[in-house]
Amino acid sequence: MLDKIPNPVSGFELEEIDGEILLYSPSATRSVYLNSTASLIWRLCDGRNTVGQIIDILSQAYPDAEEDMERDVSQSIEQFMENGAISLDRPS
Amino acid sequence: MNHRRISFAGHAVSIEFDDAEVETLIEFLFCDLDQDSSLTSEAAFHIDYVTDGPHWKLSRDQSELYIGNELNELGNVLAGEALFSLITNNNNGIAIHAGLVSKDQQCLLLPADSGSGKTSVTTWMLTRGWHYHTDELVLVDLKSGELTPFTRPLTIKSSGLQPISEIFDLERNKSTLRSSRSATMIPHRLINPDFKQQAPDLTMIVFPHYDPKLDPDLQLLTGAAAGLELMRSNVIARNLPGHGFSHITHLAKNVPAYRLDYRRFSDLDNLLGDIGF
Repeated sequence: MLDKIPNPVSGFELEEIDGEILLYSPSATRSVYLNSTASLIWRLCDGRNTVGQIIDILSQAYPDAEEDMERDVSQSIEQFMENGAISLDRPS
Repeated sequence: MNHRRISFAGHAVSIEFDDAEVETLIEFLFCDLDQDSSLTSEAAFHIDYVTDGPHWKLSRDQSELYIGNELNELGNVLAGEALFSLITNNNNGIAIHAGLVSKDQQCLLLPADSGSGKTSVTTWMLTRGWHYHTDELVLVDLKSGELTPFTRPLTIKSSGLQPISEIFDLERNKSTLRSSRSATMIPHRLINPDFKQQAPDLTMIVFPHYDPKLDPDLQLLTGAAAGLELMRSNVIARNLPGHGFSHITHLAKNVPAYRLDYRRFSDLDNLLGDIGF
């Protein structure tokens, strides 16, 4: 998973409220709530960063949370995938 | 044949009947709704009484909706089906499955799934002097934000009757209620006779969640979490641009919202007291 690139799936509307994000897909009639941590991870899922790079970026920014970062990022990305909000692709 | 027109938020349905008992029932159900005859009817309901077999028959545009001997059950079905027909083509507002009560300039929206205690909390608020607007559905106008409640009798499902009897004397008011196997309908004026049709601007949202296994709790929600809950209560999303997402999040950003977990009415005294109720 670490060398794959999370890509946002098109068709989701996004609203950011006080550091948290609410996504909505009209075609799937599905809402996805992202708490502040998941919202940080979502912003780094820009189609360029690999999962490993996202973990590195956040570990440098939040060294106190480095120990749990791989787990937190993996869980969030799994949540995004379960809700159809990202695809996980190999680098081209 | 008698006709009665019912209108709500720019949409109307008609009911045909020829029995005085039905006329009383229709008045009981829909006395707080408008009767705008200039609107085209979305659906035509027809109520018949037959002497042989099950006496009461309710149909809509040739489809049978109820056949049986309980006029009150027919009324319960009619109220639900009429509401469905009145909102199904509405694209002027966000229809939120929710109770609505107000007091002075405070206005409280209570969105929840069926069985979460929406009507119970609404009824409890009335016993505390709040004014009734609805226990079922509120339309929030897309342009003005004005609230249009679908005002009907309080409708308590059979499973919720015992708790309600703790705060409202069902036995003493028995002759004024309409009970059937699935629900008991209570005229809201019995609990708070001071009825105000117009709701003030929304000031707070509380998502009630009845669960006898949960510890009672009142939790302030973030805007995004409130938006998620409101999207779940948004019942005619398909009619609106973007399914009303931007309007829902606007509400969630601007109105404080709480999640209320409760097991019994005494929990409400403690928890809602904390936020000034």
